[in-house]
Amino acid sequence: MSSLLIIEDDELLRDGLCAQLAQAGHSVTAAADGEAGQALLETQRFDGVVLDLGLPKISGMEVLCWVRKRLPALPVLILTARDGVDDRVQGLNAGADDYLTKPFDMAELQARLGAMLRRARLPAFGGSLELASSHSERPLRVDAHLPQAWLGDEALELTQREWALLSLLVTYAGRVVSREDVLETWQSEPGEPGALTSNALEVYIHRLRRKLVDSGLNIRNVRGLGYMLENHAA
Amino acid sequence: MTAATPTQHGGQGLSLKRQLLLWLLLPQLVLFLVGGALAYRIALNYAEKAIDQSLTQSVRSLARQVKPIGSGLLIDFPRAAQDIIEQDPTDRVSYMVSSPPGSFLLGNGKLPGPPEEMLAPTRDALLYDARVDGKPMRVALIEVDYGDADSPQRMRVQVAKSLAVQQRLTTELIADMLVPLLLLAMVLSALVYGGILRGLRPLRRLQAQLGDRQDQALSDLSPLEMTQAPQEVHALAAAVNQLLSTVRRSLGQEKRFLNDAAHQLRTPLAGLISQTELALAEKEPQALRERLNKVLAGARRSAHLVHQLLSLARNEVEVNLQPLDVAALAREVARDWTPRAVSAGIDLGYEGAERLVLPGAPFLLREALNNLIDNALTYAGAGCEVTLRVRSHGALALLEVEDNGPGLSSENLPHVFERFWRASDVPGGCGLGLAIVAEIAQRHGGQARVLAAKPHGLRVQLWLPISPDAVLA
Repeated sequence: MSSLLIIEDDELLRDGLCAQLAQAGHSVTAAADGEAGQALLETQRFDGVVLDLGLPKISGMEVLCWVRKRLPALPVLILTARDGVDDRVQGLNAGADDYLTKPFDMAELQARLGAMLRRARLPAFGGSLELASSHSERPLRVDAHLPQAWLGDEALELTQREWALLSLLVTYAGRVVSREDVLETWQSEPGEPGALTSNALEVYIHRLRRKLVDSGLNIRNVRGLGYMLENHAA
Repeated sequence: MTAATPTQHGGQGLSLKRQLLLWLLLPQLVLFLVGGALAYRIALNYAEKAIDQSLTQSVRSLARQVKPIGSGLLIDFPRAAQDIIEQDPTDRVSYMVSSPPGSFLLGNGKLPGPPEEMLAPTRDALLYDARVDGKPMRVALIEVDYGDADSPQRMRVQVAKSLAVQQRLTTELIADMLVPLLLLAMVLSALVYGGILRGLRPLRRLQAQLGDRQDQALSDLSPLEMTQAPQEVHALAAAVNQLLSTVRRSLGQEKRFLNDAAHQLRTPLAGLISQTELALAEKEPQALRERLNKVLAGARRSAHLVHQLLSLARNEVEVNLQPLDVAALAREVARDWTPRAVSAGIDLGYEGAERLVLPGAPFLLREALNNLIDNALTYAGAGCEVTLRVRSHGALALLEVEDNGPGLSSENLPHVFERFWRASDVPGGCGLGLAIVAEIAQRHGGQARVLAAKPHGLRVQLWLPISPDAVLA
């Protein structure tokens, strides 16, 4: 699915990560230290990097800064054993896209990686991706470049606001998108004037649900928190 | 205060003792010097006056002995008087009678006349300094008119005393006055020095008491004994004692915690080892799978425990509270948990304020909310509702997680905030979650409470002050 580079010095963890991410369908390359990682990044193209901050020789933070200079668009998820705020904030400030504290759940890492790679594929919603549900023969395909969305072969008729809402939900599929996030996206979009209220949002969600009815995907209303695009419950 | 002090405190200036000595002894020295000089001047002045007075008397008596007879002079100078005048061989008195003034008539030496400017028509004795044979002398002079009105004559009588007497007086004055003064200064200095040492002794004792502890175990931090110390040192010692008791208490907590933690950490590791050994020996795939599942569960439990222990430890370090929108934070945390809630079949939701700002440490409060939601999702069970609420109640903010799961019995409720206390055998917990929550609330000057929800379930609440000086009701 995606080609990932894992830079982790602990052999047990590196081995486990490689095996599990390979099982999840990614093509995985591993490096045991920062220098080896940099060498690989200079010669190969990757869709994402999983980077441990506590590396020998060159620290993970240095590798991160180096990546941000050379490959600004490459998504990086950092792993840290120190769970103090400083490490986290420093990492995010240095340009990491997400972080996880060791030890972490493999499912959590998969979910974060998935979201991170989806976001990267929709840079400012200019890329395209496909969401396939096990409950439906018709995958949802979103191409932000055109911009257009298809359900199977059928192009979806979407207003500008519906489109913005859908891309946001698809980008963060499996995670909660808050009302504020949606309203903010709408506000930055030109056209379609009108009151940007929660009620209006509810109307758009309702319309979008109807349009996705055959997709096997569901927009869940999370009480007081927002909306989440998920697979239809069996 | 000892020789070690200046090196230890290098650039921090003079020791207290030196400063006190300097400021007490220096003014005293100035006082003695100025006083001594003044007294010397005054005494010398009086001595001079005494000499002048005796010279004046001598010159008058001598003048009375010279009587004019007609145009001549009768000098009635008894031998006895001469003896008195000439008695002291080292301090000779010289005299001279001359008439007219300057032409020697009688005497034991030639004495010079007064300086020009002093010669005034006066009946009083005239006193002046002069040099005779190169020696300094003090001279008294008197002039008497005699003779007829048509041939007036003038007689001059002079008596002189060597100034050596003045030098002797000086030496005597120095011996009689300056030496006792010097002794007095030394005695006073010694007293001042002793007083300073005595005054500083409590500080020295304090230092000794604290210094002795270098080799002691940290846990043996008994308070300083300062029963006889003066007020100022008492305050210092009391402050140190307060610090010591805080350290002692926190060390005690740490020790208890380490003991508990050691047990809690070793147990799952022992389980892990034994399960892995069993798995390695297992030949049947299905049984191997079961063993490995147990290994995984054990490893997860250890990971969770380590996380909790670390967050407890982190809670101890210094945090600075800054304005924080806890409502936004709570929604963010709840959003992170939503996927797990959905897969566990639990309806997780948020109610309450859009925005509520209070002084808080974001990573601590996030940890607290994580623990509360984690607990609720773990123990409430599928089909339940878990609701996170943030509201303000006057000066306090209420952060609450309520579930409608089975809840806890009323006898269990008081124990939930105790470390390592567990109400259920559901795997994964370690009995630290709510203890952490309670400590985080305290770190914010607030309090954690637990109540039973109606009709069933659990409500765990964090009451936190909204303004830094709000008092918990």
